[in-house]
Amino acid sequence: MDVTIYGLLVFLIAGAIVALEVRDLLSSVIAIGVVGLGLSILFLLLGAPDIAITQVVVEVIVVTVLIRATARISDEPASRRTDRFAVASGLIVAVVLFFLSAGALVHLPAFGQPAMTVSRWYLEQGPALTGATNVVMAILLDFRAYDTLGEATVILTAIVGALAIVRGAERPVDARATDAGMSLVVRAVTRWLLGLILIFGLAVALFGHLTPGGGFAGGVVLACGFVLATLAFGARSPPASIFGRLSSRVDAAGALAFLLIALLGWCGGHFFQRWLDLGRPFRLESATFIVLQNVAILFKVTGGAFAGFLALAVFRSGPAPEEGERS
Amino acid sequence: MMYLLALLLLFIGLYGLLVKRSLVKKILGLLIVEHAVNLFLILVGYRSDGLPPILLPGEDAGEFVRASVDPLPQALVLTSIVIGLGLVMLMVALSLRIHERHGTLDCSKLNRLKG
Repeated sequence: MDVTIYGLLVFLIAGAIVALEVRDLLSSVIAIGVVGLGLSILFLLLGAPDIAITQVVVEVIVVTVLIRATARISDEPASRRTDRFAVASGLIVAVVLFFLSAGALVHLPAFGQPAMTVSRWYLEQGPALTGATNVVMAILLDFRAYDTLGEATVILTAIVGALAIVRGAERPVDARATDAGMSLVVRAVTRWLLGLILIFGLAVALFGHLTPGGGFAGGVVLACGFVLATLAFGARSPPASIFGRLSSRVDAAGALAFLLIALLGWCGGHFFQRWLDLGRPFRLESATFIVLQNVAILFKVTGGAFAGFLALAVFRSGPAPEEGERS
Repeated sequence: MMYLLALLLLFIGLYGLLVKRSLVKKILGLLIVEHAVNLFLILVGYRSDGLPPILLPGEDAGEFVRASVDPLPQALVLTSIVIGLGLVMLMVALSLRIHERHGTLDCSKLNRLKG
């Protein structure tokens, strides 16, 4: 067991070095994808299936976005000149900080023996108090729902920022590039897979309180499905264009619904108070409150991730504006 | 030792963030840093031969508490991964705008003010 973990860690480090040192940008993006997938296997081995699912689907979208972005700009010749001073000072800073922070590690509990002071209480009481047998979801959406609200706000802000930066740049899209989609084989496979991906995403989100997953993972899975449809059938095809127009509204509606669920807690006394009864354990209705929150997050994450992807995918960077005119 | 390797990964990312001149490489460096921090948190919460923190039907509650890994870091890392996705989109949007305006992503060429 330990040997596998060590092996994967070394593999991640090698992948990271390749990603940073390879000259071709496309190769480095693929290397970073390999690092992300290796990381998700490592999470699975470390007893964190929720994280593994989220990591693997997030990595898919990150790599797609980065490839779409770099495919357009990697044609500029990479400068061969290496700045010796920058390399030397960067290395010195990284190595010195590494040894300084390595000194702090001795104060941590040894690997394999976590401290678990608060977590023990969460594990003992979580399933009974919240109805969610997946204790990660119990913590995320009940015990520490305030944190989740803050983090959902960060995601919303980042996507809104990305949309605002790209807005106004959508010049007449090169029709051949986005509308054609991909080859017949890809289209046929996508037609079969798309429904399965969407159902899987919904199931991951709805049953997040019983099995690994939850709204965050499910939302990214759904966004992955729509991204696949966009790439395979083209941006003007029905699934991509219909949901594309709705996506930012779905994002906003999800965020508002999450806030509304929290505000309704005032009926029971305070913010985020659970206002629905617990059902029978191990059933879908065992924690209706958490299911509702998961659905709100599902909408939020799906809308946000797909809106961001579309904005970056249709962004066409034209030739740089004439400098003479501006000055 | 496990922690040291995660730390090494973090500083490889930091090195890329400091030294590389292409903005895409800097984004990749930040991604590596993010991966390393998430990995470190999960490593700290791992229990030897631990099971996922998910109670199964018919499982004894006391046994579950003894065998499960720490669920708290997992709950925090879960959202941090999705935040990472939002951040990548923000950074890519900024880089595309910079490339559109200046025609390059090499930040040693970007540090001159024009006007």
